[in-house]
Amino acid sequence: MQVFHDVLYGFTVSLAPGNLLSCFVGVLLGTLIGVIPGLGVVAAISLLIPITFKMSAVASIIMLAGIYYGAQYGGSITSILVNIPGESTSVVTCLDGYQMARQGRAGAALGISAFGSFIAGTIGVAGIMLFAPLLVKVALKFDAPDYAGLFILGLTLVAYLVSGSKIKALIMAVVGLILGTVGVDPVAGTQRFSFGSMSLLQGIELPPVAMGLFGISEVLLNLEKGFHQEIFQTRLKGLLPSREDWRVSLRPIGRGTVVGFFLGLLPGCGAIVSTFLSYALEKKLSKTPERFGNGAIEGVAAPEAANNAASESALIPLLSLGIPTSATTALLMGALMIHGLNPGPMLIKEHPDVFWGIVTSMYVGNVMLVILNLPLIPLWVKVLKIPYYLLSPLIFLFCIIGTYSINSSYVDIVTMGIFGLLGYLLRKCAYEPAPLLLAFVLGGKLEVAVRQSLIYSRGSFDIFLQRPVAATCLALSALMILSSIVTGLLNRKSRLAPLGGGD
Amino acid sequence: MKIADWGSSLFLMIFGAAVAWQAEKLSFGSFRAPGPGFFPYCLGLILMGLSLVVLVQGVRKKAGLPETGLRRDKVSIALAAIFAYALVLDFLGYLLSSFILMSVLIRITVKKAWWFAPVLACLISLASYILFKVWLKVLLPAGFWGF
Repeated sequence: MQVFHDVLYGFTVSLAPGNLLSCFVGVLLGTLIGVIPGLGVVAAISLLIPITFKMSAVASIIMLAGIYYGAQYGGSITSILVNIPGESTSVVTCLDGYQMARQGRAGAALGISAFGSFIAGTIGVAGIMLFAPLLVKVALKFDAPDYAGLFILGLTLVAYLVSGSKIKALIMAVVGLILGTVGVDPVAGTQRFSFGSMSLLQGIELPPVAMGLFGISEVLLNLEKGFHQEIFQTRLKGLLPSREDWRVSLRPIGRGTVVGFFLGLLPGCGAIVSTFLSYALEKKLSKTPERFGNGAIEGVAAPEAANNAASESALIPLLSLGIPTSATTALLMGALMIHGLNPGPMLIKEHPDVFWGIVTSMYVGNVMLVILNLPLIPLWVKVLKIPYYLLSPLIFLFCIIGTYSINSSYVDIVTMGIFGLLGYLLRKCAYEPAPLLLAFVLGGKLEVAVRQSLIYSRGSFDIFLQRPVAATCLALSALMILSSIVTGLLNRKSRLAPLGGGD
Repeated sequence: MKIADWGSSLFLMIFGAAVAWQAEKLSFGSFRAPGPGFFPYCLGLILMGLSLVVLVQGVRKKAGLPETGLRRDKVSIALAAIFAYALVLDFLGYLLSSFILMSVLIRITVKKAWWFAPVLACLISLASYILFKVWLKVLLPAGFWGF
């Protein structure tokens, strides 16, 4: 079996001392970032991209991916103990997790969420090993028009699935694409929108954009609202779930894993949606739905499994097609490109060490997380007590150092400040910044795909309709845009007393 | 958020127009051989169209309740502090500029005794200097005093 051979090879890469260490650092930092409510994964990864410049490509992506799935573990700790989601993907965990904590079962809740995440992570990694190579075989037959179609479908899906206004999300995607055109034209090599500035000539750097939009703006919003910090005082005992807990939770974990895995494949807010969906599913299937919201352990187990499975399966489209499905995977893609790797179907063939190394490291990371996390919970509780007047200036400082270290230039700090202001204003006006970041990363690839297609077809747009993959993708995108316009119109007519936008 | 929709969509429309106008100066090429201006030009037009939709929606929407108790002043101070930091960093050096930035930020986040912010800021800038410059060897500017 070729897969076994590849997996074994992958483990030789991921278990090499240097890579093992970066995996460890990644999952540890990830948990830490997950625990801290003010600092999201996107800001954290963009913060660390500059630091990975000196590391090998494999080691850096292993570390950054570790932050990504480690944060899923950490986020649930905050949800359970403080009733504030540490990450957006653990919002649902608050519902029953915090109730369990209030009933003195914080240990069981933390335990089941760690084990549930671990089981889902294990199955998720196996899924990547099976599905990604298959998808690569299909993707190798794709041509420029198909990619153009896929990229457009990815962007519209993201816009379609965000919670707020879909038009505004589309606008964000277009703005992201526009920002991505700054610098040297990828086809003809001409300067664009550089206005004579050397810094703009190289294009806008990814880390300052991401840190500004997701790190700085988040702190600004918190500054404006004022801070509230309150930890539920409870004695942690019995982190291991009881036999009864296991009996109730095993099936929900299984179902959560399946839901998370498949939703994670779709561009959009896969991981978040999957947690809500699996929670609703369990409530529906339960014989005692009234227990949900009052400390039902299934209500913790299922969504925690789902968010972990989704965060792993999201790497399948990234590594096999070169399509990021969320702001976080877009950053991972950016990091791969900074290290000179081109995520897409050729990655597995040209850099099997990177592909199999990352995938197997995720398994190693999951093992580390489950071993590490339970004994370290008292430490994470201490982290939660870090006062916000220390935390928010520190986030600012780390963002500044991270940005400055890319080019040792103050221009990047200014860029970050501008995007911090932009992110703040966008959220105030109910625009969701995630599609912007995604489009910003994808922009260059989409432009090349569109222009190459037109060159092949000698200027005929039929090329996008003649190829089945491209045509299907574009038809789906058109359908989504049309349906959101139609529902928007219908909603407006049926709305009697409209309240303001989703602010 | 009626005003927010109005303001943002008008701004985005002007931005889209500016992009299209600038892109027009670059070569548009033809559909057979799209030039460097092709993609941004189309994007500028799409942006204008989409912003128009938001504008129309905003006109029909009723104004929401204004948020209260927000500290916009703190946001402005924090942002101004970042931009000022970027400008003085090369001259004042990492230690001094970070000390000032941290003092300002801690000061606006928490109310404590007058010495609290400067002392904490001093500790943070020294610790981060040792962590990043000495230990991780990140190139941070020394400024006029040379370290």
